[in-house]
Amino acid sequence: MVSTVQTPRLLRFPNFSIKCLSTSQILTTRKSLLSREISAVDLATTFLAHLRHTEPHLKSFLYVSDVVLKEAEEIDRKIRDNNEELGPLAGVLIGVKDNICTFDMQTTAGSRILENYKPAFDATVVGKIKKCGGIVVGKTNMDEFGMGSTTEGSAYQEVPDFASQFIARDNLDSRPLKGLRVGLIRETIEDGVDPEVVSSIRGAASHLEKLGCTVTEVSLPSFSLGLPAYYILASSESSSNLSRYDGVRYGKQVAAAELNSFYGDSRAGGFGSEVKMRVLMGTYGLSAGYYDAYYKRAQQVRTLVRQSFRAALDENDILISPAAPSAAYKIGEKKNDPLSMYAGDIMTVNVNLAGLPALVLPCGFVDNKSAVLPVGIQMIGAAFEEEKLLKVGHIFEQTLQGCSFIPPLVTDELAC
Amino acid sequence: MACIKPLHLLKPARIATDSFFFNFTKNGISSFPLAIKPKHSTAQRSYYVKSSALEPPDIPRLAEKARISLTLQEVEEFAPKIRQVIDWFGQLQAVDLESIEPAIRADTEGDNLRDDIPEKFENREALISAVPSFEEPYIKVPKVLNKE
Repeated sequence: MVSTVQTPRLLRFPNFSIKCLSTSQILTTRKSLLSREISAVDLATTFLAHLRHTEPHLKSFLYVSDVVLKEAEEIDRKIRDNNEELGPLAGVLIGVKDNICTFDMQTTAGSRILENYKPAFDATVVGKIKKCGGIVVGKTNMDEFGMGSTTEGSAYQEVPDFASQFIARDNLDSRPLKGLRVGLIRETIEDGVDPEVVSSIRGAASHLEKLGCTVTEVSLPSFSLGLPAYYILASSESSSNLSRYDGVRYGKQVAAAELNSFYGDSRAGGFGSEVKMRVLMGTYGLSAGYYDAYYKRAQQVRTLVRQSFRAALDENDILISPAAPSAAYKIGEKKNDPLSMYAGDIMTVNVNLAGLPALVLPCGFVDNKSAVLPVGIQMIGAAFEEEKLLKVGHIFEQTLQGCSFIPPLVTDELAC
Repeated sequence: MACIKPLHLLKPARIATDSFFFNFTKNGISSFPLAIKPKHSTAQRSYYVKSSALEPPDIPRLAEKARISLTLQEVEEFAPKIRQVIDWFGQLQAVDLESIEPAIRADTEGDNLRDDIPEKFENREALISAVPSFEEPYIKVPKVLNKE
């Protein structure tokens, strides 16, 4: 067992074995802290050491906070003094994607135009995490302004090309989901979707049936239209939304002789290629005379998509689909083919258009000789029914055998 | 619309002719886009676009509108990709959207809005410290030239 000492120690068994990594630590952390089984500083030190070990290989963080231990000490103080209520996320380290504002902590959205930008405020979700006692451990890498489909699009880190042999791990006891109506979206398992992805999803569907769900196929006729509609709306709206990045009030600025080239050169130096192209496409789509042909029609398609999801969610509690039409593609494979890259988003953009909550979980794998690659299932819930969605996802994840993918890098360090 | 065809196999409706003539003047780059003829695609679905209404994208002019300084190399690199994507956008023309209301955002119905009450933002210093070039009380920018 862990002994309580003043100096921070790296924690070993039993709390941090692989079996426990696959159950929810968030639920147990607070309990372990209150029972004095571990300290917040011990926990934070362990995770930071782990991060130092994995980060050179994974390159997933753009920034790691330098006040993690200080915030952990504050939590330990609250526990010692016994007079302050500990929030539900006390001591839990949370990585925040770099397009979400964190007060006084670098927030770049993966773009050079916001290099060194530190917001003057927390995003609402970050504020809520802090209020619950959570610790922001750092900011994670991403495709620039979310326009890349993969982190290849980040302006900061090169994506490491690491071998993707995943080791499947068994999981725990089951709990039923009796009476839950699940709709499998027919258009997402037809032509154009990798057959191995389809069979993983069908496997996940039968797993849901074993948990007590009734699974039926539903049709969303406007589904394939969602992709061009989304890209029209996304590029149009980003051409407008990104006009604020002009080098004047924040972000990267260049020297220039006059204002127009100041804008032009600051933005040219700060935006990557994909972002530039999307801004140009959006500028075109919103130009006088083009609005009706593109933007307005895309909004009308959005209405159709919303209506069809609403109808499907009247008959079903949850909808399911693959997260993507294929397993992950190789680095650089889609670099010069924008339509091919956009095609990978077909499953998820419809959810953005409909404005619904969704999550993705591993549910199987594709074996294509050079690598074993994970397949994700997307679960979509009705508006404001996140609680039901998270419950279904949690039970699915806890009970599905053979799909807990843990990369060898993690198992090396923490082997039981 | 029942299934997802591999998108790169769909033929675009209009095949833009390839040559743009770039005219270099001391005011910048302008271009003369050529007229587009609709081409009947042999793919299963054809997306017909009224050619008279929609000029193809003029990258240098768009870049100027969007205030992004592009290099010549970028113009050459982006133009075919942007044209390809915008041609692909054209498939929405073939859809019957008569009497469908445009959805201006992915919102849901219902009274989920907070009260419209202004709040004072206290941390003005943090906002000012983010300004790259500041000389109390001005934000500094280069001079503004009038375009003819």
